[in-house]
Amino acid sequence: MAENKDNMQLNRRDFLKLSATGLSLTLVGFNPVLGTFQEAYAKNAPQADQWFMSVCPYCGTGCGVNVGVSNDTVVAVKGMPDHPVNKGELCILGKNLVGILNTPDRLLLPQKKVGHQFKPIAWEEATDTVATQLKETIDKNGADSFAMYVSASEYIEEYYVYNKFVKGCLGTNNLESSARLCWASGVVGLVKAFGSDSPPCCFDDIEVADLFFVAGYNPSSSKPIFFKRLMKAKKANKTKMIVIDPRRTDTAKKADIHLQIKPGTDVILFNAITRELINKGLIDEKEAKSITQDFDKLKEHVQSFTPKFAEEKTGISERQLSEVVQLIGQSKGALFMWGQGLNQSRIGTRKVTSLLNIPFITGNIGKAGAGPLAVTGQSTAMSLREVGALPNLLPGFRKVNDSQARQDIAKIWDVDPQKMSPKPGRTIPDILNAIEAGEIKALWIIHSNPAATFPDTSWVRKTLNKLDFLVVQDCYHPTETSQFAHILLPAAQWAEKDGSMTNSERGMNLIEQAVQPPGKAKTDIDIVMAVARKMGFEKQFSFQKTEDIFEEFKRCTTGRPNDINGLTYARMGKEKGLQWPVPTAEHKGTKRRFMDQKFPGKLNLAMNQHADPLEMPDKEFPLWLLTGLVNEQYHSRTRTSKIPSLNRAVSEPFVEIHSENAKALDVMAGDLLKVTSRRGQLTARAVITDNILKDAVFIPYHFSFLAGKDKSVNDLTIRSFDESAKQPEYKAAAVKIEKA
Amino acid sequence: MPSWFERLFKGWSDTNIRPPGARSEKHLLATCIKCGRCMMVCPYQSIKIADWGSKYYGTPYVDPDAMPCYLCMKCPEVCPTGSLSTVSKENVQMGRAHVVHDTCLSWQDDLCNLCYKRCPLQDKAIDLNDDLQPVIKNCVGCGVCTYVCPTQPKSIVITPQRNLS
Repeated sequence: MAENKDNMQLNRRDFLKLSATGLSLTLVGFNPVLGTFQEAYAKNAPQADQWFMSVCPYCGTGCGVNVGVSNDTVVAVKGMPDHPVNKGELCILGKNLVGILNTPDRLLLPQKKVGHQFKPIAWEEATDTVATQLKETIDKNGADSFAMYVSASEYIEEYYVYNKFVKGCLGTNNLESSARLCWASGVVGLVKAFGSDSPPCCFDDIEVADLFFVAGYNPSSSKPIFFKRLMKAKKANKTKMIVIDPRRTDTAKKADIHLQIKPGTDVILFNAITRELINKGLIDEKEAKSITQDFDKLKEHVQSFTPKFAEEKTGISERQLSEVVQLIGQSKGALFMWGQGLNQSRIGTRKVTSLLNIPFITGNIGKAGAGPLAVTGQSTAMSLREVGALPNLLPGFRKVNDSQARQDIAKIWDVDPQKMSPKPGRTIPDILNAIEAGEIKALWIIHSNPAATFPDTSWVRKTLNKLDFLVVQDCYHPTETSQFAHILLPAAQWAEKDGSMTNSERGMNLIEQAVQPPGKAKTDIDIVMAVARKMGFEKQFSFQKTEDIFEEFKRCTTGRPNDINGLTYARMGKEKGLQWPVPTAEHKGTKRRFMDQKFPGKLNLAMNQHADPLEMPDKEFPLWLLTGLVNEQYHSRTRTSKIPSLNRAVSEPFVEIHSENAKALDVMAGDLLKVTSRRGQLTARAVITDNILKDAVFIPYHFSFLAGKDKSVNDLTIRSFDESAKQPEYKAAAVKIEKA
Repeated sequence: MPSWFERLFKGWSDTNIRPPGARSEKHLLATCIKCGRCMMVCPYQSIKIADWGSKYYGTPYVDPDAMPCYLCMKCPEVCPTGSLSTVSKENVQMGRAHVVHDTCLSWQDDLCNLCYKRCPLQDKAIDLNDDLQPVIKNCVGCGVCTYVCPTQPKSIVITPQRNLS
């Protein structure tokens, strides 16, 4: 027995020892790993063999980034400390840029649709097919039966090649870009007001201004680094901030005055502000008359917009209005910023021009720290306007219907000016309508995703199916759009190609190629030029490197507002963010425009009336649908859906409703809600808040049918477009909600 | 964050928090009959049941790193013994978050603020200071901030109520 007991004791001791060793091993084995990780993170200095300069591909702020490469792979991205825009800071999207590159769904080979399946083919066959199909379509149905739809995140050289190919060589102006969905109304508004497209301000004005007037804009979510700069200036200079938004957004929370306006009534509010400024004698009428046209007409026009009328229509009290008017009247320099809340509307251009009346009559123009500051939603929306990658433009802000402009450009392009069409091309709503009517037979989509981003997507999908020939050139597959393609062309993306771009303050930046594209993917320039050469345009596309294209584009800008003849790749590499015009090599860039108070013409004041959206809430569909973005995702998520740390936060749509509506429906946070409009339905979890108007719901727009059934908010939105800019009205549709 | 060892073998991690409405650890352990109804009603599958190998076997917990509590307050309603009492979400006491300034992107030179953006009690529990850095105010410890924090290791962590002095 005793022996036995001894054995038992030994065994138990052994067992305890073993467990202790095991435990300590696991602790030792685990903690040092955690420790080194922590240290590496705290230092915040990712290691890489080589660093390349680039610009973040997301929003129009244009933050400079350094791309770190080891063994031909991008291993790190960090903010560029000496870049004038962000000074080394990055937002959460920029921080996670590494994750967008080598994802499992990168498109690596050209593919052709056979039956219902895609089969890999060789590049030679792919470009041959595209060239012959385009030639056939154009020979049979005319050049206008072809259209190209490109994204607003590409580089100057790429836009230039597309423009030259479509407008110069093929002879149609159907070159459209997704900037239409994003800033078309804003740009048309600027053109109407100034007489030319030329953002006058720069980011350095933020520190000079003493008032920020922010309308329909939530930079806290859409442009975090820009917002941080606003907040820094606000804290340092005690800058006042007025925010106009139907939601109490994170931007509105930081404002001195938040005007929670009824959706869509901005024109009335701006006219009422204008009236009060004039009637209370808070402006210098003499000065206003000297720089603007039709001041007396505007004075007469706004008289009917009394504060009482405004209160009734916009829901903003007379007291708040007079506070706002006082702030604007007292301000020595006010910056006027706006966003999609104004742009994405049936009367977007009217809203923007009504807003611009205010800086014009108060003299907030042509001086430091004052004027309209428009930051676009996509990185290179400014570049595409300079290069003219829109249906009505040619390089250097020239118009296609100007015969002199066509001749000038034809000379540089080495094409026949007679072949260039004087008729402005189709906008994307027109293109889709024309596809439905059978007038457009072939479409080439580059890095864009209309099947997810266009309103009423179920109609868009039907329409895309009607095309005889659809080429989709993208870096990912599947995307919502790529499934409709006949030919898929694998393209390089950010960090895999070089070029130059302009940010929203006209700052020019050089982008270096950090790595080779994966698989057989090629740069967009190489792909389009290969097709163009096969169609017989070898002479026009004899560029050897990207810089040659930039040099040719420079010739188009001579004597134009965006004259950049003083820039070369070498200079852009050294001096970052130089703002055009930069006409000579000695020129130091133009921070602010119109400082001499010399405008292209007299400033145009707009006499606008309010108009209701196409679809108003009614008995059956009683709520407004507002769509918008969240910090963690970008547009249709083709990039951000690949990053797990971002998808943790928001990986599916949600419905933001007012707590009183929630109570009436007996809905608790997290319950599934069914949102229905006349066009479709969406099921998503409820988020209950008091930050939204009672008669509105908010749903983020990032998700489409790849995210799951009934997850696409654009199934609900309406095909209603701005009267002059043709930008879709994403922020006004009538919906009803019920418990799912 | 619970270590893999804790997850696999202990069935319990010291970072686990109790579901909303639990008054105190002692009260919960005394009254919970381990019926699992709170787990079944949770729409986010946030509530889990402590596994064998732990002295808390059978009691409900939330691991904020796996799936946090979104404060829908459905679980107290189904609790048969009052272990989880019905309270408004502002009065829940699950724990308290604290921000690790050394690794938090917003406290360093960048900008993130996802914890603030996704907080179910935005402005009350987490607020942003003038420099847009998150600061903790009346936090109830639901753990959504920990869940969405994009840094690794997490820059905002929850101390469970029982460990708060």
